[in-house]
Amino acid sequence: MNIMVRCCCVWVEMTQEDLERQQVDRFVIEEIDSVPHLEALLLLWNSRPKRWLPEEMGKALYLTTEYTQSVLQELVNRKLASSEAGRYAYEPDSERDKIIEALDRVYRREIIRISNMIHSKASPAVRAFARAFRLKKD
Amino acid sequence: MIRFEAFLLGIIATTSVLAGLFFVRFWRDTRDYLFLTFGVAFIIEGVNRSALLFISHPNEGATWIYLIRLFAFLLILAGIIHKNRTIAK
Amino acid sequence: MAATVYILGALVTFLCGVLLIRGYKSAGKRLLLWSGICFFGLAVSNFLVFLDLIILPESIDLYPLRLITAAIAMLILLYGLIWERDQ
Repeated sequence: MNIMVRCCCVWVEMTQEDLERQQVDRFVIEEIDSVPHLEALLLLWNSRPKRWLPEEMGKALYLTTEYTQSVLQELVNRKLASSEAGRYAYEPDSERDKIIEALDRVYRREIIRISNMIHSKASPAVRAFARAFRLKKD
Repeated sequence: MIRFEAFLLGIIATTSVLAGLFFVRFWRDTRDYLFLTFGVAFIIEGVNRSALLFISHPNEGATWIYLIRLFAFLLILAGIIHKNRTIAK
Repeated sequence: MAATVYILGALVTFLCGVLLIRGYKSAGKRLLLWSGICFFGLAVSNFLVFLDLIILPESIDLYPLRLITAAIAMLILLYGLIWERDQ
C-alpha cells in the first residue's frame, strides 16, 4: 500500500513535469526569437522589478547596445516587457509568470535542448503569421 | 474555354499548390497545426481549380466544386479555432 | 446551398485578412501584409462568385473578373511567401 502510494506520487509528479515542459516548450516556440531574447527575458525576470538601460543589459549579456535595444523593444512588442523613459523591466502577468518561472528552471537544466529548439524554428515572420490568428489580443 | 481564362485558372491552381507547400513546410518547422490546415486547404483548392480546366465555362455552382471549397474553408476555420482553444487551456 | 458556401468562404477569407493586417500593424512583418492583402482579394473573389451566381442576371458574367482577382491575390501571396519569409 505504501509502495503504491509512493509510486502514484512519483507518477503524478512526472506528468506535472511533462505538462510543465510542454508549456515551456510551447512558450519558447511561440514567443522567443533567439537565444539573446531568451537571456534578456530571463535577466529581466530574475531581477524584477528592476528597470534596465539597454547599455547595462548589453554589458551583462555581452551584446552591443543597439542590438540589445532592438531585442528589448521586441520583448516590449510581445508584451513580455515594458519600457519607461528608455528603461526596460519585466511585465508581470499572473498566468505567464508561472511559465517563465518554469522556463528559468528548465533552461538552466536543458540549455542545449532549448537553444536547439530556438534555432530550428521558422523565422519570426512565420511565427508572427501564426500568432496573428489568436483572436484575443493579449 | 477562352485561353485567357484557362491561363488564369492555371495561375490560380499553380500558385495555390505552391502556397500550400510553403504552409506545409511552415507546419513542419513550427509544428503549429494552423499551418497544416492552411497548407492542405490551399493544395485542395489548387487541385480543385485544376479540375475546372476540364470543364468549359465552369459554373462554380456545380455541387462538387463548392463542396470541395467548403471543405477547404472549414479546414481553415478548424485550424483557427484549434489554435485559440489550445491557448485558452 | 452554393450561395451559403461562397458567402461563408468570403467571410472566412475576410476574417483571415483582418487578423493578418492586425498582426502586421502590431508585429511589422511584411509577410502578414502581403498575406492579408491576398486574403482580402480572395474574399472579394468569393463574394463576386456569390454575386455572379445568385444575384446578377445571366446576361452579366463576372467569371473573368472572379478569376483575375483570385489570380492577383494568389500572386501577391506567393510574392510574400518567397520574399518576406525570412524577415
